[in-house]
Amino acid sequence: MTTATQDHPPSMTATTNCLIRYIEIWVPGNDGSVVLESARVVDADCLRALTPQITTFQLGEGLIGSAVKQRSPVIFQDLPSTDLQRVRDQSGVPVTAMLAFPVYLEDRLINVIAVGLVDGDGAAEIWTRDDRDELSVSGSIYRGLDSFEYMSQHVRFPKGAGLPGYCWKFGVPKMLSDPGTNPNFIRSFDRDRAALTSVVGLPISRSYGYPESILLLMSSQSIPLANYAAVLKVDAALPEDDAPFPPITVTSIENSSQEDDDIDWQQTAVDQMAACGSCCLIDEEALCGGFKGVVAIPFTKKGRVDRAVLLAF
Amino acid sequence: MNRHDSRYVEIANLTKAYPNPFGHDIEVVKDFNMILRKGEIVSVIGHSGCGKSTVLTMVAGLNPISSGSLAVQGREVSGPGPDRAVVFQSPCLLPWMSTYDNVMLGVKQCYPHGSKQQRKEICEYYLNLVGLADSMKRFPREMSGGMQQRVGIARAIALKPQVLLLDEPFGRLDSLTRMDLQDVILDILDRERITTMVITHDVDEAIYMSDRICMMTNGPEATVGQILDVPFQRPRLRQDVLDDPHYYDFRFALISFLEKQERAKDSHVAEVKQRLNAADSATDQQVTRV
Ligand SMILES: Nc1ncnc2c1ncn2[C@@H]1O[C@H](COP(=O)(O)OP(=O)(O)OP(=O)(O)O)[C@@H](O)[C@H]1O
Ligand SMILES: [Mg+2]
Repeated sequence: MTTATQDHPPSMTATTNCLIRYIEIWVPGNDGSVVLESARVVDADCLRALTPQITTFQLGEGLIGSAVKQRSPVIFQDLPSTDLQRVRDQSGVPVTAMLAFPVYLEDRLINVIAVGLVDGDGAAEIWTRDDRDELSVSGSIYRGLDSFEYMSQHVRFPKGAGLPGYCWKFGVPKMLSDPGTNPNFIRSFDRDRAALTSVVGLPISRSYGYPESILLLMSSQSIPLANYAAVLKVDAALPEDDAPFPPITVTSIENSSQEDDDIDWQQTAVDQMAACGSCCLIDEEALCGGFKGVVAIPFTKKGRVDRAVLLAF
Repeated sequence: MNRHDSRYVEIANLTKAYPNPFGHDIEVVKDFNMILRKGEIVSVIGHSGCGKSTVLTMVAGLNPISSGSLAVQGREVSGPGPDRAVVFQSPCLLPWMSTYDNVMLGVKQCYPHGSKQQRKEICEYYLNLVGLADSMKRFPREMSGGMQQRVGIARAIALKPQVLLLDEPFGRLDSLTRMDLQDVILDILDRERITTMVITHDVDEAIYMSDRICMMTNGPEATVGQILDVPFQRPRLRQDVLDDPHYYDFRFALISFLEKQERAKDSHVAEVKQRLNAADSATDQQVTRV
């Protein structure tokens, strides 16, 4: 088992230098199961496709099944974990944490997205509502952020407060650049080694105004989570059932990890997402602005597709 | 803990708008949300002028709410009531009355059916608690600021309130007197389990005194920035708290919050102004179109 990583040495070049090095997209099957749609390794020059052995999980089973059952992101970071081992073996990537989250269009589950993270500074947090309607951290991974980690377990955000409270109040994903100086990022990480450079908040929600949880993904100066991340404002009516979306226009890039970012290939990514009617993975460089690939995730608000989040590698 | 105890005071979307000189309503506090458990001590910190007193006086019922709601023990309240007692920075004692009579004034209203002896015992009990057993006959002018504040505290607590609201109660006192009075209050609150909201500018006071610290963002449209749960067990010893290795994590979190708010002040004001102007011109256009 342990030799698997040696058989496929992970390619470590500047272009693979991001924390997310492995991606899976799952779709709901019959009877509550979830079925693998695609699995990719972030390699030096491409998103390499894999054909894993396990392609179905039952409700509540493993990382993926738990994300569906709990309707919440799930983070696994403790070895031995069969999920971590499974991914390490089949991909050859030395992932040390796995994160999976469900994606809903209103109350309909459309995907589970799972990502594998390699070692490096950064953080991911799951915020859930407690009995006094405040958000607190219910699952997390922190690296290089000891003081931030300690304080965060004591932080509570009521609706509207902090980035998690914003995502809850407005029911939209939100990206903040420069959390160290950005007043909308309330907590401080100045006592820690890791300097956070951007934070993306994703509401995991089946009905507007009542998120099941909020997922926060945080990149550090030493290594980003993905080579590119953006929250796009889009607008389209929500299709019935699993029909494709009508054409979706990107109205603006609300925030991205790139300065002076203009709408260009992002519209193509959103077009593909519209054609799928769900999250989609594009791996043609020509369609991804020179990135190796991109994952596009739709978010709905009040019956419309209202935002798209892009993660590119 | 039953439902009413776990949501003893429920502050939902509390908002206060004051008209500015140009006749616009400016929301100084907007959508302030917080739930207090029974017996909890919550301190509120934030920059001068952000709206702390506005929140506290709205909770006290002394300042009308523009929108939002306030419930104590599951019952919506508006206006002041005997369930909530307030102590301000200056105790506002009646100068022509002795310490004892100042406290008795409230006790008479609060225990109209009590016997003379019972009322006397209540006054003496609370004046004793705040360390004024020997000064009951003194007049305010004969006492230091710290002693007067002790009277104010005794007067508030003798009313047996369910909720105690303290607005910078030690703001005018030197640091030794301040520490003394913090312990007096904590001792009483540990005995009586009164749900308490205390406004302070002092981060060390906030950490030492409270179960939770509510950090307010800058106004206009000030609101809850974040809440910190303070994990130190009550009753507390000051030295234990100071010796805790995480004390400085808390201190740092509070100070860096305040510093960041300060740095963002100008841009926040500009952003709110711009948004209000945009809303204004939108309504103007609507008006001209009609
Ligand atoms: N009656 C009033 N009319 C108009 N504006 C008011 C009124 N009372 C208070 N304000 C404004 O509301 C804002 C909040 O005031 P508040 O007294 O609540 O602040 P605070 O946080 O208690 O400040 P401090 O720490 O200095 O006591 C201030 O900008 C103040 O100027
Ligand atoms: Mg004040």
